[in-house]
Formats: sequence, C-alpha cells, structure tokens
Amino acid sequence: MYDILQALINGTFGWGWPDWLIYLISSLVVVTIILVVAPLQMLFFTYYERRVIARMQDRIGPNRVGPEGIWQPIADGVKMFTKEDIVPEAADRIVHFLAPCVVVAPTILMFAVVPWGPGMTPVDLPTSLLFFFAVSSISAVGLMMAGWASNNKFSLLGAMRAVAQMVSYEIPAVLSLIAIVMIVGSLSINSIIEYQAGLLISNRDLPGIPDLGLGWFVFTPVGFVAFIAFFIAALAEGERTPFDIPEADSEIVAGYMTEYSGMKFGLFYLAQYVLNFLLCAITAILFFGGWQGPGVNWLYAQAITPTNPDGNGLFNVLAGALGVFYFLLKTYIFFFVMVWLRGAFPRLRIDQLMDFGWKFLIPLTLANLFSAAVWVAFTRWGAAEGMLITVGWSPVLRWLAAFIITLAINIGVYLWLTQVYAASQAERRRVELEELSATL
Amino acid sequence: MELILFLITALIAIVGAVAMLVSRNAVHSALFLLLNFAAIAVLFLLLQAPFLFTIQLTVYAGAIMVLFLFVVMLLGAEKVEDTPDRIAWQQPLALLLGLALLVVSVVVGLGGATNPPPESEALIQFSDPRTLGALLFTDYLLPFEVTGFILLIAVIGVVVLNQRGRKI
Repeated sequence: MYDILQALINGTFGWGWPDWLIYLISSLVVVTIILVVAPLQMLFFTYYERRVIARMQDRIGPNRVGPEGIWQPIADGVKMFTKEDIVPEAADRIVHFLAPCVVVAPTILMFAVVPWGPGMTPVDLPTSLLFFFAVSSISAVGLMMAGWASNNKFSLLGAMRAVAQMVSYEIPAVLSLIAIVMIVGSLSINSIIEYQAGLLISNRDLPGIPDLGLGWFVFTPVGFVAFIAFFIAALAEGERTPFDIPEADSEIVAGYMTEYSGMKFGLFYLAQYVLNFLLCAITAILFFGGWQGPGVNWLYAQAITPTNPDGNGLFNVLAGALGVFYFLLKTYIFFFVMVWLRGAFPRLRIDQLMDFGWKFLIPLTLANLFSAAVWVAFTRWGAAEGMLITVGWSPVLRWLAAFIITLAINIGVYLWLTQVYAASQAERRRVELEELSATL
Repeated sequence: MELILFLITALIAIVGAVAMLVSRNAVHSALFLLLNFAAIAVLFLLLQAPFLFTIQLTVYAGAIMVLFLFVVMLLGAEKVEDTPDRIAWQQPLALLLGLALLVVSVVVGLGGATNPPPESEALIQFSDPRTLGALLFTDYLLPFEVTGFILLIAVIGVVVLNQRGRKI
C-alpha cells in the first residue's frame, strides 16, 4: 500500500508529500479496510452457512429479506443491536464486560498478516506465521474470562471445554505447520506463498518449471498429511461440528456464551465466524497457495513493485483482483467443507476428542515432521551437509526420490497408527464396559 | 515516535504488575499479569525482535496464563482466605530483594547506556529466528538439551500420575 501511494502521490501527481504523511495515510487506509472487511466476511459467512446447511437438510433457509435473503445478516445485526443487554446479578461486571472484547480483538489483529493478493499484505512481519498463531491463542483467555465472570456452572464448564480443546489441538496444528516451515525455511506467510509458484511442483525445488502458480504443498506427501492434520485441528480450534463440544447446546446450554445477550453475544458470534474465516484462509494460504493461481504472477511481474518501480499501475489492479479472487474462492470452498461436515457428522464426546488429538494426530504430525526433514535433505542438501548419496543427481531425480520416500513413510505411519489407535479404542471400550458391569 | 510508544507500553506494564500485586481476587491478579506479559511482548517488538514478541505471546500469555486461570477457576480458589498468612515473612523479604534488583538494573542500565545501540540492520540480524535457532543448536546445545530433558520428565510424570488406578 505504501509503495502504491508513494508512486501515486509523489510520482504520478508530483505533489512531493513527506514520507511520514504517506506512511500515516497508508496505515489508516489499511486499518480501515481490515476493520470493514472482517465484519463483512462474518455477515456473509452467517448467510452462506445458513443457506448451505438448509440445502443439506432439505430446507430453503433465509430467503425473505432482499433477493434470495441476502440482507438477512443485516437484519440480524440490527436485531442484535436493539436487544437488551443483561448482566447477571452475581457476575463480575468488569470481567464480564471485557471478555467479548478480549475474544474479538485477537481475531481482528490476525487479519493484519493475512495476504489478500500479490503485494497486498497489510503488515509484512518476518515471523507473521508465528504471529498469527500467537495472537489466536490469546482468545482462549477471553473465553475463560467469559466463563468465569458469568458465575454460571454451564458457562464455566463450556469455557473449560473450549480451552482444553484449543490448547490440545494447537499442538497438532503447529506441528503440521512446522513441516511446511522446514521446507520453505522461513516463518513469513509471504515467502510461504511465493514458494508455491510453479506447476504441481515448486519451481524452487525444480528449476525450469513453468510458473502457473500451482506448486501447492498439498500435492506433496508431506503437505497433504500436514493439510489433513491442520484442517482437523482447525475444526477443533474454530469449534466447528464434530468438535463443537464447548457449546454443545443439548448438554450445557450455550457454553461460555450462556449469560451473554444483545451485542455482547453478537461479538462472540462475530469472533467465531471471523476465526473460522481466518482458519479457512490460512489453510488456503499454507497448503493451497493463497493467491497463487494461473496468471497472477505473470500479471504481477508487470506491475509497480519495489523491484520494478516503472511498471504499469493497471497491472497492480488486475493482479490484485485475480489474486483476491483465487484466495477468496479457496477460502469459501474450505468454509463450504466446514458446513458440509456440520451437516454430515454428529458431535464427538470430549474423551474421544482428546484421544483423537493426543493419540492419533500428534504422532501423525510428528512422523510428518520427519518426512519433511527427509524432503529437505533430498531436495536441497549436498555434500556440505553430509548428504553424499544425492551428489551428482539431477534435480528431477532428487525430487522423485524425496517424493517416493516421504510417500512411503507417510502411508506406512498412517496405516500403523490407525491400527494402534483402533486397538486402543477397542480396549478402552472393553474396560469401560467391564467397569460398568462391575458397578451394576 | 518510538519513545512515546515505549512510554505508553512501559506504563501499561508497570500498572499491570502493581495491580497484579494489590488485587484481592486471584483471577483479577492473573488477568493483570496477562496485561503485563502483553505489554512486555510489545516492548520486544519495539526492540526489533518480532520472534521474541510472538514467543512471549504464545508461551506466557497464551499457554502459561491459560494454565494459571484454568487451575484457579477449576479449584474455585479466587477469593482471598481469611486465615492469617503463614508466609507473611516473605513480604518484606520480597520487597527488599525487589529493591535490590531495581538498584542493580538501574546501575547496569546507566553503565550500559554509554554504549551506542547497534544499528537496526544488525538488530534485525540478531533477532532473526534463523540466528537464534543456530545459536540454540550450536553454542547453547547443552542447556537446550537439559531443558528438553526436564520437560520430558514432566511429561512422563503427567502420564504416570494419570495411569494410577487405571487399567489402560
């Protein structure tokens, strides 16, 4: 944004404004865009989810307000604003008031590092991937505050469940990311996206691959396992159905949101949908190339960039529009999958959730980490690092060897783990039945 | 500009720390400590160390504070008990040691202030996760491994304690 404004104001118009003023304007514009886009995405997602789930349940869904019910979220928002705000008599008023803010603020902050298109990253931190997950872990504190301050057993129980689930599933999520970080060699989301240029294979592993922006990680064995593990963990982090235990309405009313009403309840809702959007977005970015797609890199090569200051501004707009289109398309497809899962699966029990996370996903992602190390060793290491086998191999041969070995490791580990896990679950059921019959 | 940001963040950190000490409710104390941790994280960011900023957030604010809150809320131990404090002798001692630490840090700070701070390019190099990782696995390998071993013992301890009286 700064580059474009700099080129526009001082270059095209020749006004010669000072740098700090342009910097201030660009920051304000970016902040405004983020603060407007985040709630808009949430509004769209509520409508999207309700229509899709209605279709799956053989209903029509909201279709009265506006064409095909497109203004339904606005009506719901107005309803939220005009509702009475009730604070329980025995609640801790200040913490009760602060909790929704502490839940919403991190989700909005996470937008700061999400790249929407080529050169369209609001804040380009060198450790943006870590920032994303560091900030997301803060919202767990907000959930605890909400559960405790409401002074309601259902709320406290819901908050406990939510936090236990988030903390447990953060581990496989981050472990599957480390595999990607190892291959890319950077913690910056931008360099992870740039690495996924090429055609089915990253053009950094294999030079001379045509750049169609399709070198997504999901096409490699390491990336595929990481994607599956990460998406399951994302479902748990976003409290989506098989893992919506924290707000299981048939068990604990609405979990930590039970004692909230009006716009405070609306804020929890906002945080949840914005978090779901971000989780879908980060899945698209890490494993499906984010804004990468056919044509984007070609357009962006002719735009105004720090390395190419005398490009054509029109190509900035074109590359940006195409990049945002690809990015949002992938994100919405993942949200569709989330809704689909909601329509298809029943809710897990909390012990099943914990077992699955700790006994299956974490070992799987740890094995995947090993595969990632093998991948890096075969595709990039030479005699200097001690990889004497691959010296003299052509890049294609190296890549093929890495692909086959990691595929074998991942399939073997997966088959072995499913057997071990099924056996342990069967054993557990047997012991539970024995205990039950002993008590009767 | 950076000075103003530093002053605001430092003020928040100090307010959080003091409020944590004087607050009568354990949950409020934990939340003020969280505020303090978050302010410290921002201070790391002002020192051009984004990696330490994120680590401070995940490890302290995200993990340790959540654990604190979890335990306090689960035990329902948020209210201050009326029984006389059995470790009351610790308060003056803590005050004394805290003052000593303050004096030492002021002395060190004033002594070190004569050295010019490194250039921002060197700072970015210094705080790069790649550099930190390389240091951890070469110069500081032994402390790193010892820490890992201690954590492993804790994990095994959790598993053993959890297995007691259960068949699987």
